[in-house]
Order: sequence, then C-alpha cells, then structure tokens
Amino acid sequence: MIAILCAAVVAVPLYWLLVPAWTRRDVLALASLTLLAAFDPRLLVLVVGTATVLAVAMRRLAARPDRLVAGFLLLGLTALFIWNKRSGGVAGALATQAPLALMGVSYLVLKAAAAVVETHRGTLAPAGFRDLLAWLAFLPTYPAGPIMPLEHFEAQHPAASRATVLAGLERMLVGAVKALIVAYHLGRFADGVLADPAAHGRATVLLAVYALTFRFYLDFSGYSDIAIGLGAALGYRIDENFDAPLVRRNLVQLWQRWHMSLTRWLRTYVFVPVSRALLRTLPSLDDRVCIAAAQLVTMTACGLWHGLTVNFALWGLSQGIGLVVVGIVARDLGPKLPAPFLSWWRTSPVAAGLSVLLTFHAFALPLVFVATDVSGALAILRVVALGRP
Amino acid sequence: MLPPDLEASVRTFVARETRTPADSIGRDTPLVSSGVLDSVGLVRLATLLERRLGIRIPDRDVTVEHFDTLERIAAYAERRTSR
Repeated sequence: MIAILCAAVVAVPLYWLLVPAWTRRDVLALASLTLLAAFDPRLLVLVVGTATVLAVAMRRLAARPDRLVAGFLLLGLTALFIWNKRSGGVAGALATQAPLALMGVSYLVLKAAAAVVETHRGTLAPAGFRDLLAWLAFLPTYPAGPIMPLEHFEAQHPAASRATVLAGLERMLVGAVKALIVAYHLGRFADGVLADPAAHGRATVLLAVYALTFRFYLDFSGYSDIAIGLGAALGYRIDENFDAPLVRRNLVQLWQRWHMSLTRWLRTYVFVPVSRALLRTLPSLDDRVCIAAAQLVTMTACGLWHGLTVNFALWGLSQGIGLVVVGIVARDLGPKLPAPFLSWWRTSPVAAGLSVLLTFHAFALPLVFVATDVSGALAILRVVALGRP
Repeated sequence: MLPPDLEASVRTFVARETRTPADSIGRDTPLVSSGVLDSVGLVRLATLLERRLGIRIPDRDVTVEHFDTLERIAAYAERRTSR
C-alpha cells in the first residue's frame, strides 16, 4: 500500500501533464489493467472477460428484456463469487484476513450484477466494451470499493484542479494512516486477547471487542478514504462511504451510514425486491412480518457476502434481528410510551448518549462472529456476559 | 393530484412513520432524501399506494425520485393510473 501511495504521488502529476484529456479514461483503464495483471495475471482475464460478456449481454437485454438471460448471468456471477470465496481458504472480512482466490471479485460481482439488473429493468442504457472495461478495472475502487454505479462512472469526465488533486492525495494519506497504522495496531491488540478470552478478565475482553470494532471501522473507512482520495487525484468523484456510523442512535441509522455503497446495493437489489415479493405473495400475512423477514434475509446476505461461513451468516442475522427490533420499538412500542418519556428520549442529551451507547454495543458485540468462528465467538461473549469462561 | 382521501392517507402514513404531526408535512417536504422515511417506510408507502390505487409499482420505481415528496408521489401515481 505504501508503494501504491508513493506511485500515486509520482504518477498523478504525469497523468495530468502528459495524458491528453480525451484519452485519460482509456489510459487509466490500461494502467489499471496493467497493475492488476502485475498483481495476478488471472485478474486481467477476469476483468476483460466480464467486460466482454457484459457488453454483449447488456446490448441483448436492452434490445429484448429476457429473464432467462438475466437470470443466467446472475447465476454465473453468483457462481464466480462462491468459487472465489470458497477456493481461497479461510475467508475474512478485512483485506488482510482474506486470502481469496482473486482480489476484488466480491465487488466486481456486485457491480456487474447491478448492471445486468438495471439493463433488464430498462433503467440503464447498454455501455460499450471500453467503458465497461474502464469501469470494472477502475483502480481506486477495484480492490475494496466503494461500489460506483456504472451511470455515475460514465457521467464523469476526468477533471480536477490543483487543489482537488492535492486534497485527494491528502485524503489517501489519512486513509493509509487509519487503515495501515491505527487499525493494524488495534487489530494486533484485539486478536491477541480474543484468541484466548479465557486467559483475560471481562474488562480486557470488552476492551478488545471495542478495539476490534474500531479496527473494522478504521480499516474499511480507511480503504474508502484511499479510494476516494485516489479518485479525486485522478479527476473522479467517488461518493462517501462512511458517515460517522458508530455514533448513531439506533442500528437503522448506523447501517444507513456504514459502507453506504454496499448497503445501497443491498437495499436496491435484495431488500426492496424481497420485501415487495413477500408483501404481494403473502397478502394474508401481517405486513410487518414480511418486512421483518426481508430485513433478516438482507442482512444475512450481507453477512454471507463478507464470508461464506456460518459465523458470517450469524453476524448478518444478528444485525437483521437488530433492525427488526428497532422497527418494532419505533413503530409499534414507541407511540404507546408515555408522552413525557418520549419527549425526554427525543431531546435529552443523556438519552442521546444512552442510545448511542446501546447501538454501539448492539453492533460491536456480534462483530466477534466476524473475527472468529462460532465457538470462539461464543467463548468471547461468555466472558463478556459472565466474567468467566 | 392524488384523490383527497388518498393524499390524507399518505400524509397520515408518513406522519406515523416519521412520528411528526401530519400538518407539518408539506407537499414539497423531502421525505426520503432527508432521511425521515427509511427504506422500510418507502416499501410500506409503495404497498399502500398499490393497494389503494389498484396499480402495480415495479421495484425499479421504488426510489427517491418518485417518492421523495407528496408532490412527486402524486405525479407518479397520476402517471401510473393514467396508463
């Protein structure tokens, strides 16, 4: 990563000084593909192959929406995703934890799937091979997101002032410090304690869970900073991906601000279709049950996207249950509470602090299922709950 | 324009979802982009309109573009019902 930062400092001025404006997208695509191929030659085959298939499929789907073609493509992308997750050995949510077969496939699959669905829906015009290649290989977001929709990428024409380029490089540096220094050291502390929770007291284990939570936040948001910064330095605007999620008053607010490009994808392509399909096909069932089921499915899918193992599924499910509970409290229980209490809860800084603390723990404690397997996670939670193994 | 009784229903629904007084919701008050109506509220609102208007709203239309304000909801509903 340090090498990439140094390379960016050298390459960015050359990119602006030497590359004519009309070739910048192609030159960037070529540079991205060269770097990906240098990292792993199979990535070149993967990205070029995906762009080729997408170019053909989008034209076909735009001419005649065909569920079979779209379904076949989505099935193929799912198979690629599963193969990549399974063939890499033990999966992890962080880049440093994830010895996946091929880097960046999880994001590539989400981007390609969105393009297929939107073209099939008629909301996205088919793109040419060169545009698709530039979009899929776009180096700033290739390895770890944020997920930039094709239409956002196509609408942009690389342009930047000296100030935005410098701000971009500065943002990359901030991201590198967050992800590579602070998150790394928090992770070392957390891993050391959580690997053997029985050897530590409750306070130390709880502290390690907090360290783990901030490690995940700083790692993910740090990589997003690097991507957004590099994008800005190259003249592209990439949407923010995190918005202080750990200081929110409930899990819904937290998840609206955590890895926003991923949650947007999940909302658009999992939650909305699943909830509406359930509401239509099961009209006799209470709407709240259908919505809750869709929330559980969506968050379990979120867990499985991070890792195809039981612990990741349980983590996602725990967050789904949290969202359902927030919905029940806000929509059903809340209005029945005494008005003075509701007013205090909405306006008091003490209530705000309490709700932030509660939300933080509802997010942080289940994260142990991401850090280790089910038995390891239960051992950690046992020490936190009971103070002993 | 939404039929008056449906507009009242939508306003009541949004007020209940967002826990705000119904009369504080103007026809141009942003509901989704401002974050007061989350994705659950959006899906429930689309379902309410489908059931009351007897129309089918495709998933691709359940977006901020169509459901952000009462004005946009009315315009969308008018387009769908006039087909």
